[in-house]
Amino acid sequence: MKGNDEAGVSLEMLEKRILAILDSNSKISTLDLVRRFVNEGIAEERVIEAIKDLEDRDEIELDENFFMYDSFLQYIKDVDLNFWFYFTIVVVVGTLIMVFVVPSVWPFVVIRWVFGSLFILFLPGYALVNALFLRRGDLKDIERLALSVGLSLAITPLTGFLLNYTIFGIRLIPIIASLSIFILGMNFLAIYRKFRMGRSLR
Amino acid sequence: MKNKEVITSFIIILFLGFIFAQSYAIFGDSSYRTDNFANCLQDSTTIDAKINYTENEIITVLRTLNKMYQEKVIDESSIAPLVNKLNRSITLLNKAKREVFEGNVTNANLYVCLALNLTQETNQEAVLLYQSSMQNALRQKIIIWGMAPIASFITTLLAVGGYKWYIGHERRKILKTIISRKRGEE
Amino acid sequence: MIMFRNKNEKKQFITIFVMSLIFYSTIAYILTTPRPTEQFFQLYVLGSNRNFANYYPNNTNIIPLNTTVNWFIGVTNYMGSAQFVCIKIKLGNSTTSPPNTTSVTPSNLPEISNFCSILPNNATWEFPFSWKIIKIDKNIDSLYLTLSINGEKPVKITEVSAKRGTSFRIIIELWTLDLDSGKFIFGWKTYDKKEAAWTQLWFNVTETSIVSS
Repeated sequence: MKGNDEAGVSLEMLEKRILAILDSNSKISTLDLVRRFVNEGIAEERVIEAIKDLEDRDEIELDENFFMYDSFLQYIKDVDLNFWFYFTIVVVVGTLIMVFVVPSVWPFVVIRWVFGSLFILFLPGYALVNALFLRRGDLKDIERLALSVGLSLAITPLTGFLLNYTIFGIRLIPIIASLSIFILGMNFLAIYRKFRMGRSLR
Repeated sequence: MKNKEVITSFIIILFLGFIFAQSYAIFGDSSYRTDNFANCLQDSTTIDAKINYTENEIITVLRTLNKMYQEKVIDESSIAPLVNKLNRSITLLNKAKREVFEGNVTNANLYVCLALNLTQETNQEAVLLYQSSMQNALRQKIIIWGMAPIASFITTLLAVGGYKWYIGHERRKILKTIISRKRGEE
Repeated sequence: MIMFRNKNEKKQFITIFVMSLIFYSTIAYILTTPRPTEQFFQLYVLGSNRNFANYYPNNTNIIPLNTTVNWFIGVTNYMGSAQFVCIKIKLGNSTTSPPNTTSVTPSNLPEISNFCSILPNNATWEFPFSWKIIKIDKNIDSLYLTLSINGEKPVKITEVSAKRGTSFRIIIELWTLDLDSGKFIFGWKTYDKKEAAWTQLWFNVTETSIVSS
């Protein structure tokens, strides 16, 4: 049931108004759109809820606003937008620290299990998915999560299989090194491709 | 001068007392050992009865060790010396039985008393080990169970805080986007 | 004190706390409760080079008189507790009934030697076992042996013989001390069930080995 807010506007009404604005303007900055409604006394959370609802129903598209960034460095510095990038790096570095620096004793071993699980079962696929599906609307969050886990389960054994034919063999250090290189490589590729794509859409 | 003499005497007395205490700790037990062993040698009970008694003592020690295994309070490195002592006891007991078979009662008595003494010593150590192991195990259990509510509280704070942060993060991300009408499928 | 903005937040907090408490309590239970494990012994015999070969001198199981046969008998304790173990050595032939692991009954042959030790959990006890035929007696066509085990006093075995000296066997049985009864039993008790382990090695003796007395 879509309720009213303090200004007496229902969610359905709000969504219709947003669509009407978009029909007359092909693209508009979300910040400007939200400000417009906030100035009328509608709560920001309400507007964002309506936007999310429209996105879920595939009626609107949200793309990163590359007009805000003049350079790749400026773009990469935006932690909010590129949280996924920094999260990946933190988990990789955390895993390396837990494996090579911190002794494998209780209770630190529990933290090692957490980082290790993310490193093997989530990150390889997540980095690859981010490198392949650049736009926000390409995949829903749950699809992104499922693909990340599924691809990780494929990438990790394949990495082991390939290592078997090298002089390094399937041992701890070669596995960690190869997966770290893959994850960080895909991570940097993803953020660079996003920036390049955004520039081309400007 | 008088004070110096008093202090020097006091220090010497302390030192002697310390030496005595250490020697009691080292030799005090052996006086017990000597008494037990001497009693056994002089005891007029038959060798067979002594052998049976020693065998029962060995079983008692084994039961104490196995109680530790059952309660999972075992420290394998502490058990090994006790087991070695028990095995030495068994060897002495076998020697005693052989001497009995060959009719050497005096030798048999000596061996069985050595075995009994060693077994009783091992029994004391096993009981002490069991008591300290049980205390350690109880302490561990209290710590582990006590950590459950603490971990739950921390997890809840992280989950609630994390969710709030995620909502804010989503909001900030959305505000940095460009919104457009979705084109139909081509 | 934690400040809640509204009732929903309070409900959320309590729900997550209760679920986490159940989860962590389960983990605490698993960590503090001992799990039942499989209980068994491992019994094996190795050859003179301490491997699964070279059981007989000159690689033949026809044992000449006064020739020492060197084996190593090993027992590993996986019972989850310290065990008082005895290995009993018996001599049998092709007709004597061996131990039965189904009914957990030992062979009814007399014991010619035994080796006993207390083993902690997960410990292996391996000891040398050497035997030698000191004398062979003949009665019609049955041969009787006098054996010396580990260089000790020879034991004359009158209950077991073999026609023309073929198909003697050394039977090795594992016995353990049952702490409930205080007696040694064949095999071991595990969770109110009895199991057993034994092994045997066959050998032959020839008439030409007999020294006329």
